Amino acid sequence: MPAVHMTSVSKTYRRRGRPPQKALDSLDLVVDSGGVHGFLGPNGSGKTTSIRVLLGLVRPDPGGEIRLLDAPVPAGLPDVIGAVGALVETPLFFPGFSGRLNLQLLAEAAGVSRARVEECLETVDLRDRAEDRFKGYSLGMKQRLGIAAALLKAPRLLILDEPSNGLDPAGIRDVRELIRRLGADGRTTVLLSSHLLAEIQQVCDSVSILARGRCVASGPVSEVLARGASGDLRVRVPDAAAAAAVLSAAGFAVAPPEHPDGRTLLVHGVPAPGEVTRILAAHGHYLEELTPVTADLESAFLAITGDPA
Amino acid sequence: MSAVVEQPPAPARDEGYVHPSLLRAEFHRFRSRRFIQVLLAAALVGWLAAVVIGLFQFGEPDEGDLAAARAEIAQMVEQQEVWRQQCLDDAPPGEEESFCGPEITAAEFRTEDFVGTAPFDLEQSASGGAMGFGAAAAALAFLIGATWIGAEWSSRSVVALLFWVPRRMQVMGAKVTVLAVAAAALGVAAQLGWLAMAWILRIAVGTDDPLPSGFWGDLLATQGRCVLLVVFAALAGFGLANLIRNTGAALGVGFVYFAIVENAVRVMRPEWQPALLTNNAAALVAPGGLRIVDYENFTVDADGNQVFEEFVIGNLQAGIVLGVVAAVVIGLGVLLFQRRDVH
Repeated sequence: MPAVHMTSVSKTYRRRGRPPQKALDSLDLVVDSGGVHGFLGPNGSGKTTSIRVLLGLVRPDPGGEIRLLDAPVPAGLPDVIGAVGALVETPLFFPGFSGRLNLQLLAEAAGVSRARVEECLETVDLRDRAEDRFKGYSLGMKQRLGIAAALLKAPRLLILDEPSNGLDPAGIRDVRELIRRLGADGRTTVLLSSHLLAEIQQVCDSVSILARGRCVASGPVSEVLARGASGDLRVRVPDAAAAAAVLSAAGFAVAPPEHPDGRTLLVHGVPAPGEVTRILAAHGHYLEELTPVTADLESAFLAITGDPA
Repeated sequence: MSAVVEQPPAPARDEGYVHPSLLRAEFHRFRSRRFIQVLLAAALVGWLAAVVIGLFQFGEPDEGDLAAARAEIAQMVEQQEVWRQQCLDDAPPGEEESFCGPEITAAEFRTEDFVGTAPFDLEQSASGGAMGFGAAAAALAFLIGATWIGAEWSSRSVVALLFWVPRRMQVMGAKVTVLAVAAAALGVAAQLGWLAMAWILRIAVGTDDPLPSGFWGDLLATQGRCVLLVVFAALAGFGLANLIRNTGAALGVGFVYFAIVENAVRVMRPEWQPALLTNNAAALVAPGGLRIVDYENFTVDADGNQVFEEFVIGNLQAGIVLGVVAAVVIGLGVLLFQRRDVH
């Protein structure tokens, strides 16, 4: 059973005096249960709108189908909301209340015990500042309190929208570690929306990429990376110019030596790296280095979304 | 977050997830709001100040006070007699008495009404005091109602609550219920405050004249209507702030209505006065309702007297008008909350 299943979901914002704005355009999204699923897309691609639709905050256009933990949204949302924790954009708490009181009020509303509040404050390392008012918190502390609130329900599905915002490097590391552990615990599915491509690459098992309100790529991170992979090889030999001539004669596309030392080549579109090794050795050029140029998620993302930036 | 990065163990569903208790949480939230606490503390200080002022204002007159009062009455009677004599001189012959009226004597005046320090008279003051306390509590309740939801919109914590309770009607219903109960409690507390103040004044500086039969029943009815007014005011404040989604703007709208619109109506369209909220509020709490005289419109009767147009707003009619206004304002806000996207 997928944790999230969206089929042909559209959302058009209509504001008086402005043309309609299509935020989601027949979006299909499947997030399988378990693990960490990344949610990636340029600004305005529809990530936050998707999350708001999932949580029943925004009403989608008629026609699509949404299921959250197998319950239809929004009709069945009350049945599963107790198993869904969410942090959407900035944490929304009452500024005049302490961090602890803000969590206690949410816990009371859902019948969660006070002991659980203390556990979650401990988890995000806020117990010492729990009696301080929320408005006195730093951005990072606010974000940590938001994460604590999302964890209160010990959710089966945890939706985190930009959870690293405002955190210091140690905080970012801890949040990522926490997300990884949650994803690996076998009972929690984490949907992580982030603009930090490295974060998605480090933390997520699978990823969906949104562009212009549509899901343009989805699958395990390694597969999505492979779509952006170039098949390029970085080759280092004692005489790069001569080696380039040999490879060009053999039909390979070779870029001029890229390194100032004149010993490094870039060979494009190589289906079998062993062939390069064999040809160069046959002509007396012995390799000092042969490195596949691996695609990172940023490259894949830009290639898939067609974003020139 | 360096101390612990493990997710806390999930609570067993049977232990951690007892039946949701949104109402209890909302009562807790209401009690914890600092601004509301400050307003209630200010009300308590106001009550203490009123008691102290009352203790200085009322008292048993001494012989000097009574002598001064009698002298003032005598001077007034003398003045009246001078005017009457002038009237009699100018009146058409044979019609002096009907033209100038009977002679005024000192026996027609109560000495107590002319002494600067009079004893507190519960019978005379009970109804007015109850209405005064009711009006003050209603103003306070309007402010509390507006800030109760306005601050929630300002911090957007009402949106956060939807992550926990996605049924929006349930969320609003809980908030309205909590406010209505709190407003009723405030209204009752205000009336108890008035009774306590009246009791202190009666014991310390009041008359001990026996109260007429039916006194307590009439007072209780007035106080009950005052409590109803406090609840309506709180709901109206809530509804307005929920519609506009901002406390300050809601109070601004309230100010414009009460300070400008109502006065403009009284001057330009006096016949619309029965629809004004302040008139209906007064009509709700005043024993027997409110009689409004429109001095702009009159007819002349057979004797040539001007008969001004009058409007009478009864208690029930006023209650219905205020109830409908509160229900419409709240209903509209809740409907928009139910239907609109929330960001």
